[in-house]
Amino acid sequence: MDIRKLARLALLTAVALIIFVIELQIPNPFPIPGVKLGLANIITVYAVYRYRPGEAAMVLASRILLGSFFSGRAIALLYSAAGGTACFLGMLLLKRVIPPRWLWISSVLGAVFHNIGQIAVAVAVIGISALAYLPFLLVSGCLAGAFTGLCAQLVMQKGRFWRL
Amino acid sequence: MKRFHAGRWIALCAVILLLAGAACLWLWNAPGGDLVEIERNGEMLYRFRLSDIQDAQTIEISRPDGSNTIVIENGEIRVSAADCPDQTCVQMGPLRSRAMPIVCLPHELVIRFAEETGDGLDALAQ
Amino acid sequence: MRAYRLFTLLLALLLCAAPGLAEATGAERGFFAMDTYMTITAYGEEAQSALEAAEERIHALEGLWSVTDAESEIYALNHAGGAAVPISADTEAILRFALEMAERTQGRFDPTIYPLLTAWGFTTGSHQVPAPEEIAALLPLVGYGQIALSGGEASLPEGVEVDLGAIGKGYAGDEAVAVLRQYGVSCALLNLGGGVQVIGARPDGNPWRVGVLMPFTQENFCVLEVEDCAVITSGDYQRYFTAEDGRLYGHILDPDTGYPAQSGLTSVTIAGAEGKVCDALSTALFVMGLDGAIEHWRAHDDFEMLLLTDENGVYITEGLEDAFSLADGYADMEVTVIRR
Repeated sequence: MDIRKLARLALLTAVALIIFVIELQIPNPFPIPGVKLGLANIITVYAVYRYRPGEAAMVLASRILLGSFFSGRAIALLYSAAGGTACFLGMLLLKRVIPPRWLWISSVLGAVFHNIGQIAVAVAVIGISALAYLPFLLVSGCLAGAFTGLCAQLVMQKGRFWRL
Repeated sequence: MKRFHAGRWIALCAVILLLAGAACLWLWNAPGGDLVEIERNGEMLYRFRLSDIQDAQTIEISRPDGSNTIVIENGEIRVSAADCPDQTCVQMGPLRSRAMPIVCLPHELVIRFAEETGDGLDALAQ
Repeated sequence: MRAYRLFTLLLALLLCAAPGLAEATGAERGFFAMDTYMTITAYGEEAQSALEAAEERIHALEGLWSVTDAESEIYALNHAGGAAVPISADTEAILRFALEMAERTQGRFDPTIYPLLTAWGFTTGSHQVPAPEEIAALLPLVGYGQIALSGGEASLPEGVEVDLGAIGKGYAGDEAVAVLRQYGVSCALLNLGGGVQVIGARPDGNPWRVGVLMPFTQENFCVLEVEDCAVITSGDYQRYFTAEDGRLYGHILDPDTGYPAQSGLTSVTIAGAEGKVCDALSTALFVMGLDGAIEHWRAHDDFEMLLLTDENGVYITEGLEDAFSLADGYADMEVTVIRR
């Protein structure tokens, strides 16, 4: 991998982390465990479409790992790692079917995969009753996914300009 | 590459959203109950009837990995304080629906309405 | 709240004053004590004040016997570093009783198991399998013979700790029953966090129906119809953890080995006149296993028992034969009656 690409990926990770940390400061208006906007996924979605799978995976993994260090929520690591992996694998498949122009659809379905991954961990940790939260996560995930997907499309168009 | 039908994919998203939305409505409005269970790290700590509690009661559940304060008053149970950073369990307010337990993810604490069991029994030795 | 209580009191008085209406003045009270949730339902003219007095009595005993409350006598005893500590009559009585039961069960029930429980994490919730060397090092601290009791004082060698968790609720239940009786209650149901004690029969004259939990479910597998009796169950399903090796470790430790008792029993239910005896025996007989429990029952006549084995076999002693019935959905369980 050439230095330029490495620098770009590092920059991308840094941007994702900054967005993640900023989002932590926004109080969550929905009192449901696990519901959040997930703005940092703008970068994930973008990376999946713009870079090779391995490269995008590196950006995502570093963001999740560093993000959990920054937020000091060790338990959250488990959930975001499971959600992130499910979302990533799902989107790799979707990328082959859904063209970049419709990236936001891919992002919505990615969010759905993410939620299913999260809930799978919650069911393993807490029990079957955690399943009750899936619909709430799905609704918020679909809406947030559409939003982050549209943001990512915007970055796609301007990405060359920002050299991401 | 096969032709891409945007409409079908958007319809798929819409169906997921609608189904999930309907499920939310159903869960949110599911009836409550009387028999409450409090579980921590998968261990059943308390099982009791809300209607049995006349005076307001506070239960402190403290463990090395964190603590929660649970308040029962006016026939309702809620988490009043938690020493975790996300405070979701506190913001959830009182337990209202049989389908939706109060959950504190960092502490693996679950407060839920239990199914009524033991027909014709006066008590259960357990 | 106070106005509400006054109102119910007035209502109760009114009901008592009206002849013929006062027959079944029942009152129910729920409260948290001894790390569990308790409910008492009592019938009688003074039921309400009887309940309040009984709850007060249980809270007072909890204050004396808690292992975690720094104000308690047991806490003071455990942290005295070997010195003698003055204890109240209640604490002396329960310690004497604990020693008596430990002797009777050849130490299968042992009130000094606490250091091992702590090593396994059952007291804190951070469960772990201790190293064999750690268990070997703690075993000498376990042994009821090390409790010294004399004239209002008690002492323990340094490092030895007493924990009344296995008998405290049963003992407190007996005390609560005594309080209720003083108030003229002739009919009551006490559910002390899973241990059940009843006074008399139900208000309708039929015996109380007490279910026994099928471990790892929410249902009862049988019903015992009892009067004036304590029914107390112990089993490793009540508190256990799954270790990294995938095995389940239960909270009832064998004082001889320091490891969770694996005697082939899943749950032990003791029925008898005294809650404290039932409570202590439910733990001790769980450690003993089927053969040891039968032998113990044949040697004593102050209790009956219901045993559930790992293979879902049910064993009941002959005194329970008439009181016992299998619950719906469990009718095909094999029941063996043990005779003297």
